[in-house]
Amino acid sequence: MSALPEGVSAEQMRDALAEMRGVVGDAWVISGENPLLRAYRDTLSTAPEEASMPSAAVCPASTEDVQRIVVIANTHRVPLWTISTGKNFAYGGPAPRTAGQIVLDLKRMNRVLEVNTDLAYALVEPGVSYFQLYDHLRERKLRLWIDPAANGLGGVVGNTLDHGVGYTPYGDHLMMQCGMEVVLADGTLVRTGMGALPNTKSWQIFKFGFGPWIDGLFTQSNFGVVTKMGIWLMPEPPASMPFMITFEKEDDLERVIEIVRPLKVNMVIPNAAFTVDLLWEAGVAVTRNQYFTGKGPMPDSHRRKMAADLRLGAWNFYAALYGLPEVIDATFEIIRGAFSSVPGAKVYFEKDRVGDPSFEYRAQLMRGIPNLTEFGLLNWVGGGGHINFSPISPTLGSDATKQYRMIQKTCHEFGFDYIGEFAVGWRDMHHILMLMFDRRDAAETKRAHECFARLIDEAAAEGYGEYRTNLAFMDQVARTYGANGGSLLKLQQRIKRALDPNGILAPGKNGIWPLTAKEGPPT
Amino acid sequence: MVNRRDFIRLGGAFGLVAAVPGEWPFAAVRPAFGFPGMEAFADTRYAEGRAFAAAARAQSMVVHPVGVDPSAAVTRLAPYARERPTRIVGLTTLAATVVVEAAAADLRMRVRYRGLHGYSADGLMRHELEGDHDLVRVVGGDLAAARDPWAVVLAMRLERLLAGDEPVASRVVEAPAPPSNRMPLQLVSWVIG
Repeated sequence: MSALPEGVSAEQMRDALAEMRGVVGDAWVISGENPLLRAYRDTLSTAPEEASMPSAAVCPASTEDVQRIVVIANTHRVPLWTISTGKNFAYGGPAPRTAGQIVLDLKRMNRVLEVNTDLAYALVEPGVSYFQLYDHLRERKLRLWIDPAANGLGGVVGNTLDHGVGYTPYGDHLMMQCGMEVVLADGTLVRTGMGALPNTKSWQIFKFGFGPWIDGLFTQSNFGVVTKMGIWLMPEPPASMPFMITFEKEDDLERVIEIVRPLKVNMVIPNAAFTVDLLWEAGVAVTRNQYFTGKGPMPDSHRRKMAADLRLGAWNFYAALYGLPEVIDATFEIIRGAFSSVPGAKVYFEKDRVGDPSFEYRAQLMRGIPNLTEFGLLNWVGGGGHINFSPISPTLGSDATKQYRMIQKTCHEFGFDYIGEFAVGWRDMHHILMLMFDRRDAAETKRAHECFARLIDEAAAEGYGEYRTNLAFMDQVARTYGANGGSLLKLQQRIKRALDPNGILAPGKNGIWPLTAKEGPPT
Repeated sequence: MVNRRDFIRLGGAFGLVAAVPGEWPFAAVRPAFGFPGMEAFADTRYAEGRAFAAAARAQSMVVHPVGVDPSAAVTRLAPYARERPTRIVGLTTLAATVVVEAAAADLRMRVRYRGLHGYSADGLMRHELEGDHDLVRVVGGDLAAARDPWAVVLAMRLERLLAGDEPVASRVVEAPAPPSNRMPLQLVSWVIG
């Protein structure tokens, strides 16, 4: 039997679930001993599965269902943890922040409501995955691209709300979001931006409407339940050319990022480009024990052998160009010239990497084709455990190198490989460390947890903060954003209190707790 | 349903048990017995996966090859797919297993059986089975005593695997490893439904 949420009695839960069954039907309230409930645990992170085992899951089919469910939750004071597709792997998956919370699973709300080919946007419900939207466009032969996350099972809405990034020029997902429909904790329905205008013609084409832009309040938050969202789609270009440049030495990172920055800031490179370390690239195709069976981080000699076998660099830069072929050719010469100043840099195109799964899946992603190849990294050590440490770095060689050395040192100290990449945005880089561990090994899992906690504090001490984190570390990361006496979190807390006075929506999401919870925000 | 003796006999009778160097014996026919319409997923990059696929195919199952990208297998389980399988069986990498399980959960399908197969430190094949009590007893016993390749042994027990209920019991068995073609990673056998 799963635990009850803090402060909720068995009677409260029983009555709430009974009323929710009246809304969605018996089949769509999963509770008690129903084995389907086990699918809502976080089975990949360092926290014990019981820590995030929900007491129930309820699956509405419509916005109206959601409105009725939040009213019931308010009446009985039971907490709801909202998921869209629940494929937020490495950050908690479908699991709630604490045991006992009811998962509000929006997977049945999976309609592509509109695709506008002239203005290049889609309006989708939260259960729509990247695969689904991609298939929807292909089946209708629409010449529009999506921008998928590496996990094609992920949700378009969920990834955007968690500030996820992709690989095409539309890789900044929240920037490409336009218009939301949101259910507030009291059941009020709000449409943001131009959507507030009755009979609007512009909901998905102008983000801001009139007055304060509030869409951001519903991202990485617990202020409402997003039930519809607009997303801009990229018109299919006449041509595209993904490419890869390998760099031999770890120390090349600083110079590479110094070259990348002006190319990105000046939009010579239009897409969300990636600078990826050797093990991330290799881990998609091979396993650690093919090259090293010892304990601790892989030694340099083995790394060199692996790099030579797989024709990879210590760092591997991926980007793509789009548009008219002659423009692509001309632009690429600028890029080639810039990177040629790095000794040993090698340029590869698709024809050079046929059969290389790493190049192929990234080329697909840079063309808006979702896939699941990156999951191959789960085979690197086996055992399935992984959590992502995701600090933001300025696109400066000095910062990138400092972060890399700092994180690598700590990972090695705890006996783990550094497996990381830098996703270059408009001015920043999302530095993603994939901390892989064998979850069957309790001691290793504990070390991974301690390593991760140390990384958060070390990064914060140097002025680096994470853009997103696993459930188990949300409070710790939230505390690092503590300037001016923690005034940002206090403001978020005040908004929470105003919009959700009973604290029924996702208690603890990103460190924002309702006043009723014991585990409160930092003071 | 086909049993191991029948499988070997039929394969041998039709000259279908291949003896390709570096490959495990497999049957390459679709005899009119077995599990028509049932679906299997196998990572055909590895000899074990190919043997499992061939044996499943020989028992009239529809086999979906899974490679470095499990997208096709997972899209098969998409909530918007036109046809939904009721119960599926597989021998895949851990990575593919994780995403197949996650996708299947959206169809209200859950894990009925799971087996982890890899090498132990002393070079033996180690099988960690989770299933119902009968399943882990029967399949565990087969694997412990097997002289045939373990993936084929599993495929010979498809009927029992597919009938799995809840994974409430576990058993670890070790057996001699195949002489060659050491797979570089742990493979996972599973039944989801």
